[in-house]
Formats: sequence, C-alpha cells, structure tokens
Amino acid sequence: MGVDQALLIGQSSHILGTRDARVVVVEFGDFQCPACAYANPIFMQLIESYKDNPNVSFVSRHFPLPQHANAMIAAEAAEAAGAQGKFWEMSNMLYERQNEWSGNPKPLDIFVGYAQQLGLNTKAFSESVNGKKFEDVINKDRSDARSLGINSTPTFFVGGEKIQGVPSLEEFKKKIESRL
Amino acid sequence: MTKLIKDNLLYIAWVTALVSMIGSLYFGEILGLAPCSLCWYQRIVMYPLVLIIGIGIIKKDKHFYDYALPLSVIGGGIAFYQNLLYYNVISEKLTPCTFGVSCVSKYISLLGFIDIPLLALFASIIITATLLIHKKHTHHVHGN
Repeated sequence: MGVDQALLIGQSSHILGTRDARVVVVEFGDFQCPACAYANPIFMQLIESYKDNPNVSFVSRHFPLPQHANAMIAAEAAEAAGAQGKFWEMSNMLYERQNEWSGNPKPLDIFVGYAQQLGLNTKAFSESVNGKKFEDVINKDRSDARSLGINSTPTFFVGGEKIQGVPSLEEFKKKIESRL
Repeated sequence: MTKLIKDNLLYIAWVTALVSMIGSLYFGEILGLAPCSLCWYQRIVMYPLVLIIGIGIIKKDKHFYDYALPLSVIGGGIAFYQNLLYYNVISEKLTPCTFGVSCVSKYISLLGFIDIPLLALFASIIITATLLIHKKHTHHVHGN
C-alpha cells in the first residue's frame, strides 16, 4: 500500500523513466536546503545505478520552504531550464553550487550564468524566471506535499513508502530491490 | 561584590528568567522574529521558571530547586544543541529543513557573534549555576 500515486507523482513532474514503472522514487526538495544539497549526490548515484532499469523511475518535485528566500526562484530556474530540456542538469548545478547563490540577494544573475554554462537560451531563461512562468507548477508541488503530510526536505518516497531522513545509497538500493 | 552576588543568587536567577521571557516576547511579538521549534521548546521550560523561582523566593521554599533545576537543565540542553547547529559545529546538512522558521536563521548579532541562541544558552547557564550554588550553600548552612 502507499499513498495516492497521482498526488505523489504529480501531473507535470520531471521524471526519469515512466510513470507506471514498478518502483517510482520521488524526492520533494528545496534547492536552498543544505540537507537536500547533501542528499543530491546520493540521489544522482542512485539514478545512475538504475538508469538502464525500466522498472525504476525517478521523480523530482518542489517543496520550497518559506524560510529560504531564494528557494522559489531557484525552483523557477530549474523549471525554466527544464523547458529547454535541462531540468536535471540545472537541479544538479543548483545543489552543487548552493553556497554560491543561497545567501545572495540577486541570485538570478548567478542562475543566468549557470544557464549559459548549460548552453541554454539565456534570454528565454531569464524571461521565464522573471515572469514566474512556473509558479503554479511549483505551488502545486508544494500543495501536494502538504497534502501528503510532508513538512521537511528532503523527503523521499520509494514505491509509495515515505522514507525517514536521508538514506545512504545502499539503503536506497535495498528499498528499491525489495520492491522489484 | 562576591557577597553581593551570593546574597542575591535567587534574584539573579529570577531576573535572568524574567528578562529571557520578556526578551523572547519582544523579539517575537514586537520585532516579528518568529520563534523556531527549538525556541518554542526553550520557551516552554523558561517561562514557568519565572513563576517557580519567584514563588520559591517568596515562600522561602527549600525544595523549589527540585522543580526549577530540571527545567533549567533541559532548557540549557536544548539551547546547547541549537548553538551547535547555529554556529555550524553540527553540520546543518545533516538536519532536514523543516517547514516553518529555521532554527539557524541569523537575526540579531551583538558584538558580531552573540546571537539569540547564545543569549538563551547564557541564560540557562546563569539560572542553573545560581540555583545550584544557592542550593549547595543553603544545604551547607542548614545541614540538610
């Protein structure tokens, strides 16, 4: 048993794999959360481990917390990059270089730099972020998270089961394997 | 000076608790700095101390330490933990970010490093120390 899959996976979430994979791993994250930045390499290694396994999918969803002033704009940046096919690359960059932008009052300048490095159309990227084009999407993710009883980040679900804390790579794999 | 402090240990403890309570309410209600979860737990143990110590002084109750000290020690423990997070001794990356106010948000800084969590810790230490010293002194005098 697990939670409502439609609520968990969402309609327009970024997914690596298919929605109806046997095991779907979902992360609700906040780009400005240090714990999420810590968990990101583990999540990326997990994705790498199962990239050729059609039975396992990975979903990333937003849960920007109100105490993180730049969390929302970072989520917008990730979505804007996603519109140009580079959501996961931008997400990775945001987590890896969190210290660069986290406390900056003007993070968009930094994000445009990241977009440039990813080879994105920076004009379209900036317009998207400035126009808060994906605000509804991000707010929907946050609303779904609250409906699922989530109150912290990162929060992971494996096969519909909520996981406590940040598991190690081995713990993650055990959870996945037990459901395959 | 030492005698002055010794004779007024309980008042020092009470005033410290009172100032802590008023200060936290000022930060929260007047300055609008919302307390995080750890701050709430510290408030839960600190606010009753104002009454317990105050009544203990008035009634000259020799046993009020039994009620006050556990609270001040618990409060000190929570404050100590928060300071470990605040000053990055415990890496925040290991602590999930919780919905609501962050317990490491930096609001006010005196002399460049004395922030609210450190003030709270000082308060707990002062209250605990003064109560313990007075208790020891009282038991020594009365042979209890």
